[in-house]
Amino acid sequence: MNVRCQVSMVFHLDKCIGCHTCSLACKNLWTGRPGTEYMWWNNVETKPGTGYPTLYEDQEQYSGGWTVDGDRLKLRLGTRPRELFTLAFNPRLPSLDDYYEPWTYKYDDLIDAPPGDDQPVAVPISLVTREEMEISTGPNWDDDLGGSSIYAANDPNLQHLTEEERQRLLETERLVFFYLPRICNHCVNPSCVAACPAGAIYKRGEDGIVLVSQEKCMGWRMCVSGCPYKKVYFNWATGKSEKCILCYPRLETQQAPACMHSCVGRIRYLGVLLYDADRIEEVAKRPDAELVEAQRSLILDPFDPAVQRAAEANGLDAKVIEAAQRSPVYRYVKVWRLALPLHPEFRTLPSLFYVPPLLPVTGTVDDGVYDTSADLFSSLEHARLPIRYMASLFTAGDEQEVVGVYRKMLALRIFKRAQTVGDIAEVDVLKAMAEAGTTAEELEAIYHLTSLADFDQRFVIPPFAREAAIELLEVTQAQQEGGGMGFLRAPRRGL
Amino acid sequence: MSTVLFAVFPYIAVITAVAGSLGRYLGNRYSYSSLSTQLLENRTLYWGSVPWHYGITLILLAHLLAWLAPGAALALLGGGLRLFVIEAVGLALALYAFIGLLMLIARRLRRNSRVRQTSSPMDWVLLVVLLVQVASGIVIALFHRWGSIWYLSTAVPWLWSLVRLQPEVSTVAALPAIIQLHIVLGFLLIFLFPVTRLVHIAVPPIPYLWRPYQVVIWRTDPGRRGPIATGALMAGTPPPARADAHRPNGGPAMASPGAAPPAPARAEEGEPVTRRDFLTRLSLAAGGLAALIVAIPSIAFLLGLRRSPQVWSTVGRIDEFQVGETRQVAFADPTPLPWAGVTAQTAAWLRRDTSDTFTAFSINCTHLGCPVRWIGTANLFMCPCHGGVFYHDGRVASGPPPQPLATYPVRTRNGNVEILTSPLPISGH
Repeated sequence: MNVRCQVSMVFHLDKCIGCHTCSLACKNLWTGRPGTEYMWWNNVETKPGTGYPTLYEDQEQYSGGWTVDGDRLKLRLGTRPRELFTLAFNPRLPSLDDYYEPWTYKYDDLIDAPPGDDQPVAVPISLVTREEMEISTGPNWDDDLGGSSIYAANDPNLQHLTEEERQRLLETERLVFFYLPRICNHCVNPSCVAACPAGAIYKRGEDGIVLVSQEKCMGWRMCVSGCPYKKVYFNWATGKSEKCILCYPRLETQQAPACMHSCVGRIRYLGVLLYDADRIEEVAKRPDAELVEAQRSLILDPFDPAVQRAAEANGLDAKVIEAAQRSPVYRYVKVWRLALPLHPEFRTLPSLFYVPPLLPVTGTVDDGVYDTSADLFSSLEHARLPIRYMASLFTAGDEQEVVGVYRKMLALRIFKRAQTVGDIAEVDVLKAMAEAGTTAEELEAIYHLTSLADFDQRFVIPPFAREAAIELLEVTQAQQEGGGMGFLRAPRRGL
Repeated sequence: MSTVLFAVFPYIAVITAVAGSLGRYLGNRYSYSSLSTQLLENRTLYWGSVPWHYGITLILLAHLLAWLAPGAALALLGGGLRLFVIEAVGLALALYAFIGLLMLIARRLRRNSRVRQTSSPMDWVLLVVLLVQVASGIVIALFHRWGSIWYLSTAVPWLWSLVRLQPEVSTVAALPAIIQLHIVLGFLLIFLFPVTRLVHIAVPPIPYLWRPYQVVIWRTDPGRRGPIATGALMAGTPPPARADAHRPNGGPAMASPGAAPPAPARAEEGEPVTRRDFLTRLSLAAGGLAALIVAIPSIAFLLGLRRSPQVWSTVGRIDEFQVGETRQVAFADPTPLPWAGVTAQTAAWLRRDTSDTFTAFSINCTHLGCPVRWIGTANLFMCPCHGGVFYHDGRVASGPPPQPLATYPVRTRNGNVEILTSPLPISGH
């Protein structure tokens, strides 16, 4: 057993209101520089929709992630020699038009315009060419299903639905959607790292954060193609790849990442997971239907004395193990089995998990009469977004897994309604709990962490041991020869 | 002028390229790549970058391999059809690369081009030099045919004379201006190498072929607790604990008994040498050594301290030759390269003018150096490459050759005919 620690996240989609506060917090902090204007390390997409960059989930087009070929785990990009032969032109790279051309406006015109009969207009100018431009698309053009006939209808996940299910979606296309906030998944088996010819992308051993060394990066762009989530971005001004750094300078000082700290809906949870690094490849090679369960089995129980001993033997601090025991992610993913990885079939074993949104039918309109008398917590078969759609997103097609999650979430609603409103008979509550295979204690715990948890319960960041921090500073000082940390010159290329 | 262009400038270019590239790598590794513009513009790039890279890589490899292994190249070019096919393929690849280059330039010139925003002045300099260079190569291929042959007898001996640090510019000094331009631009590109995006050629990601897929970097050594030697990278699983205890600012006092003393370079401050420091110094030392090796003999040459050796070679007995007859004689290159192969065996045309006078003609045509043949029935030397014709006494009869066939000094000793040979076939009259 080779125990490692991984900083992991849970996003509770039932609570996301799609306000983009997270995106702006991230943008203001990290991606305001020239060349990064088009990057959204954190973005919020409307689902159904094609996402950002458009159609990123379609690996027929982009070849991100891994496939299993017989007994071997292979990059979808192809063999390594093949990858080297495409260095001059990477055929799997999205172009700027697949994201959007960033722009600003000539605000001066509003003030400087000479007196006239017409209102002055601020003309958009491109942040790339600095010329006037026609805006044709933006980072979130299909927000709240705007333009859904183009965007939502092309969602790759709809391929898995029957014609009837797609029809039902189209009828209600203006009524049902949910938000999918995305950051880098800091995968346990990252395909961007594996695809990098220069060896510039790496995973930090201590916390599993995936970073790009700006010095080593040669700008071969294979990471952008290799990442199936398209969460590595190419800075066109510096010729380097950049990505979400999980705000590691904040994490190292025990602050939550900016996107999570600013989350209005408090949908985000962060904690560490212990996992067995020796089993990564075996788990990533499982058949599609077993992937979610296999990834769960990779996560180790931090209360198990054997795991604790192995962790200490591997140099993990006692405080890290203690943080793993209090981790909200461990409970959502492993204990309660409520949170699922996004597109596990990409086989990168993402460390970001989602509690899928519960979208039951709570009322129907019949002959103009709004009728809620039907079974309030209607059966899952009538969920407004088909189970199969959720399965395509979160379980590689395994619908039973999604049904299991929804049963528990419905049981929680019934349980709490019986407590607070009292209009549900106890037999029905017990029946729902039995169907979900849960207990009153567990539901109370879920309820507490979902609805009442305070800051310290949502973000359990292992502390830096003070002595380790001092040693770290000394090492860094020695390495930088007293010049401090980070770049010693502005990251400009010139040549 | 020829000395400056062909005996001095190449050395300056190579030394600048080596020292400059090393300096840029160590001092500004951040910039050590080719700034990709594929994100900004995808379509024209495909039609530009792919033909350019594949075309120019193969062309460059052909130049390089023919230089490194002239014997193998000559053997390969032996058959007439093979020579024709190779010339045709070479020209096709050059045109392929040229079209690619034009596309690459066009996409930067286009109105409202996103790519233009990321183009640096050196990008433009480089594109112009490359364009002229490839164009001159194509002109040479079209108007001075069979370059794959005459390259072996003109540029290759000269290049090797540069390597041997005994520059012999005579073979290239006599070449047509366009070929000289091609050669000078080639070394200009080497000269520009460290200050342009060309540096990406120096760092091909070959280690990717065998490194582990996943790269994991540890700040602390899990087996030992506390920091490890700075910058140490562990791929895959963490290695076992290290025996030596490098501690920052610790100095000898904190080292465990019997541990190796701190590296001497910084002993006075009591600080160990970091890996980065060590590598930096190692590279600087290696680069300095390389520059020295090249610089000392080349300066010696410029001061006139080095001369190329001239050797009297025996080519046969006097009575083997009849008066008035012209015969091919073979002799070995006096200072052959270990890997020169069949090219170390060279030849001359020997004519017995009278009973005691001989004339030895160089076998190489004075136009581009192809081997001439003696046609006894016509009493003429004929060049197979471009139709150059010489009289029996070496004067030009017709065709492109600018001057008569070169001759070697001949003498008779002990009943043998000997000719004075130097490392280069054409070395004056």
